[in-house]
Amino acid sequence: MLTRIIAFCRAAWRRARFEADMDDEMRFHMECRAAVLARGGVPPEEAERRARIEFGNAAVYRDRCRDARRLTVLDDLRIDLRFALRNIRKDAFLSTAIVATLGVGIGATTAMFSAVNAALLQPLPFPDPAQLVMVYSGTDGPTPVFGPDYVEWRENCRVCVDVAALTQWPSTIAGGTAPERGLIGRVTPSFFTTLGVSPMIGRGFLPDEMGRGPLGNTDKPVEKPAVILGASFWRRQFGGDPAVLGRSVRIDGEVATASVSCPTGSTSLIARKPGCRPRF
Amino acid sequence: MREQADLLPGTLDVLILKAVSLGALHGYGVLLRIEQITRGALLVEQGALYPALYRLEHQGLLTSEWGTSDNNRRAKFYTLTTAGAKRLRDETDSWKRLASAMSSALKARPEQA
Repeated sequence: MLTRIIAFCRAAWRRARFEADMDDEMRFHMECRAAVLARGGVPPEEAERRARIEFGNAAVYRDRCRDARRLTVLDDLRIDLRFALRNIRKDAFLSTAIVATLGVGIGATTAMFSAVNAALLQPLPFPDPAQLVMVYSGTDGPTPVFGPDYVEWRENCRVCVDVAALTQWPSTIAGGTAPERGLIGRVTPSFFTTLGVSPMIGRGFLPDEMGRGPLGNTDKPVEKPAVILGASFWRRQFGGDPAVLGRSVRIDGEVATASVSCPTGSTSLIARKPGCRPRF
Repeated sequence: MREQADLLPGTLDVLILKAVSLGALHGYGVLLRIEQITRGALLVEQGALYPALYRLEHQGLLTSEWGTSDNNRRAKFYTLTTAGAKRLRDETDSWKRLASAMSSALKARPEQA
């Protein structure tokens, strides 16, 4: 900021210097001419007058000198800007309409690009994103995969390194600064290892945090349910405090948490879901 | 009153370069020198000299320095740069070509056609 002010002052000073020098130079010319005329017998005042006339329109020539040094660019810009502002003010309604149209247009385009960029252009924030695939079941759009199917897939899929299951629904999560509505996901313990990410702090899910049954979703609640919080949720609700480990979080009123850890700072998939809770 | 011809466009720059090539000059000196070397045959608008000088300086063909004039006054003196000397040579060649082409063209007689 200071350097900018100094640069501006220096430019202004240089400009003042330029103007003074140019005036001096032209005055010198007219003085010389007047002196010559005076030596020829013309009275001093008349000589000065004639020297000025012979020189021509000094204002025009001064302007052309500035032009030659590209100094008029800024002056012209200032004049144009002032003219533009005056016109904007003159027809406020039209100007508002134009600005609104531009604003909405730019906003809509930006929003659309942001969505397309995040969803289609940016690679998923996991190692080897090209190796990740999402598998659904159902012929008429995705339908839930049954537990036994998942187990079958996981055990018999020869082309996959691992398979993880995820289901999610909107919930109210309390325990931080204020209850918050967000997406809760139930995942298999292999979820984070399949994605190739590990929590920023704390640990991933342990196999015994999964209940009984093929998917663990038995009626019998898990003894020690664990949750992994999204990084943005953790920062928002717990101020990014590492002491969040071991604290309880209530999900839809259920006290469901023992070990709390936060997945990577990945901006996509995980971070967009405020909390991931296994209820195995 | 002597007969004076108006300057063709672009000739003022060459005349200034030529005048300055004969020795460092202030603006008024350039005018006098041009009057001298053209024997007063060309009409130079006095004020028009300065935009041309500034332009040539901006193009790096001239440099200027403040000094003291004969009458002990602060004045800006112009000198030719290397680029200016080269430009003057090029312009001189092209003027010679143009002048000889024009004069031979204007001397042409009907039997040559």
